[in-house]
Amino acid sequence: MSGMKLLKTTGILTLLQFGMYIYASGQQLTSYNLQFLPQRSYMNPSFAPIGKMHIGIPVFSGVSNSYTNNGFTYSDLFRRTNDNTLILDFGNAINNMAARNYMTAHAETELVSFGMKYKKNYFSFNITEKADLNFNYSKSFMEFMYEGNAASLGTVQQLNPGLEAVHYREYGLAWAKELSKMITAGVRVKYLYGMEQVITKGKGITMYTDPVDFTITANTDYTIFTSGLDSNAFNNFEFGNYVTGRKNTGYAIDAGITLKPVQTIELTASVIDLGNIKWVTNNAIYHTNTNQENFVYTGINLDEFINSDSLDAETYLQTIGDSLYDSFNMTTTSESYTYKLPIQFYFSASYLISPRYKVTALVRNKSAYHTNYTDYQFSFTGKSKTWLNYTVSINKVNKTTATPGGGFAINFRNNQIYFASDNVPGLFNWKHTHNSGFRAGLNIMFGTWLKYMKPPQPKLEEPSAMK
Amino acid sequence: MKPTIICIPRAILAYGINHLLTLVVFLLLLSSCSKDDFNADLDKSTWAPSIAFPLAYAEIGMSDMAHTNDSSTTLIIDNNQFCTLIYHDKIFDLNATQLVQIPDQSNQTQFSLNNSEILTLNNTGQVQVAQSQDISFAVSQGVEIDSMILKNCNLVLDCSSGFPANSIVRLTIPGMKKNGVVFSEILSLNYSGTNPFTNLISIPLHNYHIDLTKNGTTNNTLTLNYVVTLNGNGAGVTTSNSIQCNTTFQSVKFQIMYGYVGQQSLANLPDSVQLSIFNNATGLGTFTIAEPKINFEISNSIGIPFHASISQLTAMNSNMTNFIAATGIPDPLPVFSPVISQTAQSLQSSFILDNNNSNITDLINAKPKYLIAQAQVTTNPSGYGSNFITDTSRLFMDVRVELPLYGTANDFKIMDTVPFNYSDLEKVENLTLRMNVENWFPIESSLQLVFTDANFVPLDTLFLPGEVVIPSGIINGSNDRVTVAGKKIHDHIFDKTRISRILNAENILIMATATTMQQGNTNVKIFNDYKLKLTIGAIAKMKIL
Repeated sequence: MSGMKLLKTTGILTLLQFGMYIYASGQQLTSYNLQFLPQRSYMNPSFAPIGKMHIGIPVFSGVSNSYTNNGFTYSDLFRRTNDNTLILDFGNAINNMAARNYMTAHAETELVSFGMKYKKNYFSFNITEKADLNFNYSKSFMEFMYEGNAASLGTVQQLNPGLEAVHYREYGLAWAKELSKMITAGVRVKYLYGMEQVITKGKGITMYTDPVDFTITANTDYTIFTSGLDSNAFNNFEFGNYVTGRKNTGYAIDAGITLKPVQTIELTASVIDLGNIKWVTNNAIYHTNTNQENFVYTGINLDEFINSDSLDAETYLQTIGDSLYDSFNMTTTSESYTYKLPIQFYFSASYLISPRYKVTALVRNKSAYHTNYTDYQFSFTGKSKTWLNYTVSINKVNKTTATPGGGFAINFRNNQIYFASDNVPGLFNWKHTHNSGFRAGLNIMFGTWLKYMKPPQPKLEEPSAMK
Repeated sequence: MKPTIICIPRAILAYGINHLLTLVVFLLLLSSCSKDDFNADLDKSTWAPSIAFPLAYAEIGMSDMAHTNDSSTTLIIDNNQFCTLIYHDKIFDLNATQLVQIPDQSNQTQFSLNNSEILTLNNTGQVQVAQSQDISFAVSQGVEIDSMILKNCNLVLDCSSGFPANSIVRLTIPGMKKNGVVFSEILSLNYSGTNPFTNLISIPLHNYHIDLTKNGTTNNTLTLNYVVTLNGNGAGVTTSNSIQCNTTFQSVKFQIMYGYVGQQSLANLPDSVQLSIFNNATGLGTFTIAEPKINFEISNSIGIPFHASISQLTAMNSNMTNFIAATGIPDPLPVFSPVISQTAQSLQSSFILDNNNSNITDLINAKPKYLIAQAQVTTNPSGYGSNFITDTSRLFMDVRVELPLYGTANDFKIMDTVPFNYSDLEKVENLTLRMNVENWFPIESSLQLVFTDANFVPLDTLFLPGEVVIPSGIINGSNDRVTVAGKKIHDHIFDKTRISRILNAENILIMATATTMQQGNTNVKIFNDYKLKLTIGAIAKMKIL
């Protein structure tokens, strides 16, 4: 492959990667089980790969996308009619929703990664671009948006869609150490550089439409924090400033432990993304609060409208509009704020059938601002001595139906290629699945292959006759 | 030549394979995803939320219906909240300036010397010449003024001298005093070498009392006394030299005038009282008020006897064609005039037309838009007498039409047209207009809104013909009070076709009828706390996709 082609291919894949940001949840659970894989330390820093050293190929060493949405699938929303016309069918998508629904998307690209073993320690460093989105929405909210308030006359509508999204870069330094034959512990310290963020807070909007006269009663308590998204962020845009010049910084820590109380049992636990980012640059905070006082709109007062001598109709309507706007106490500010990363916990228990095979039960909990959900996995993992590591799993992610997953890591002397997905069929049948995504990449590995060791040879005495 | 691949180091080959494998994986994953998968035909997709929202509301009470924001309309509410509608206006207003007008008054006089006086002037150096003149005040309408106290007036003394000598003109008016001091002013005429030369003075006569009777012998007459003093300087004075003096009373306004104004006949132009409750009345329906009244209230502060009468009082309908003349009006009207001791007082008198003394019920039941009235007065109907007028004296007559809202209506119809222009309904696929009515009046109403084009050709209507849109409140018990409101909800659905018709409308013709209990055969009372509550809302199905 020529350099130009390599550059072009790399560019295309990078663009594809960024393109996937928009619809791609956390790490693929399945990759947690691949012992050969350096990147699994992102889920538990006590994990160290086999081998003495690894170097991730920039961008290609780790590409991870995942998307889950327990509310509806692509095929629920995009539907082909009898005449093969693709239409948007919001009604069908809403019919398939539960009362509360969660959509998550996660994408990350490893820009730089390397690590090396030193005695019983494994040190590694990574620079990873990450994007994470959590959207919490109710069926009633979507019905409200789709059908309007006429369908919910006489009922109190609590409209509080919870959105949390962040794009940042992580600079991580990890240290895993085998403390004893039974205990391995690890920690990763991370410096974080924030680029964009949005999060909603507050009780939302409560709205009641009178079934007789349609009087609208509402109150609001809603704040949208944004950073890097207002128009100032895009005026005089400079790529260099965007990539490194913003003042949104933070720190986080990952910690993990692996226990082997007996030869056949392995227990692991970790906490990931314990930290926060302080957002300073290009912030816009939109706030509305009716301060416990209901906003009530009853329409135009005909008597004032017709008989007011001091106001013309246009001015009168403008005055009403201003008054309505004022009653919501809308404010826009730009002060700095601190955003806590969604924290994740991993717990696993494995039974080692033999040194090469194990079965594992894994639980992950992710605590975002608006929701907290737990994923479950049961897997079987096998490995050869040096070249092949594979796993098959059953995953129940983000309250969606259980899906079969799988993954492998293959070592070619000093190279490793890996792939893992929590829903393998879903990759090809993504239109009908609630859960899709994968993690894949290429690593350069050193010290993974066992050295051919010539067994010690008996030194034969020279026959005395020869002497 | 060896194949190139053999030349590639093994490690690089491995990288190539790995990259290729990665690419294959990506392509496999992405092959099932294409742009077409998201390129939905939005025209065939549907997103049309139905938005319910309040459009307008009104709480209409009697004061709103009666247009009491009009300054000539008043709603009187008694302790029981019972409403009486009052329409009032002045139909006659006479003030002092209409009876007595005093134009500017002027007098001219000339002073010259005979030979003897010239000789005296040359010998002694000074000579005085005195002259007295009566000025006859010309007053409008033959008014005879005995005396008056001036409010505003300027006396201008303007003299021109042809004498080659300095002179002084003194004007004294014995009949004009202020604080007991007789009016006397001096005008100096100083010779500067050229003839003729002039000078003038202007003296304000505010608060001067003028006696125009010349010591009780006549009227409108004032005596002016001039004394001219000439101081000789040796220059040649001849008999042809003279002094001309003009004396003018300008802008004469009195505070009070005593005298006799004569027998003047005055009539105002016909004036009207607008009964706004019938502004938009139309059709043959009935509207009756059980006990209407017209109250004539007369106020007079002019010290003159009057004969006053109403020459015309007619009820005109909204077409200004049919009229009914009122009967029972007294002639003369009772007008009381103050005597001297009642100066500056207003004496009140009044009379009332009601069911017992007039045809007022017929007048009101004709649903008149206007009551047209014309009044006439004659001063001093019995001949000569002593009169007095102050500058603020007035004789005026107010008409108060009192309509106690106790009566009936049967198919009482009003109609109005309002311009209509609306074009923001293009995205609306379907519109449901809801009108919610709560009526506490003991009156039911049919309503029709007709959407018309510019030529008033009907395009659409809102309600069914004859449909009771606003049901009457129900009176229970014997206190004439509505205890249960009439309620009704109307939903009107406008589909796309109907909406397009309405978008072409340029006017809305509003027709409403009112009928009281038992088809208008029983009198009902209207109380101030009765309200017609109206809310208008809409559900609009908006096509977004």
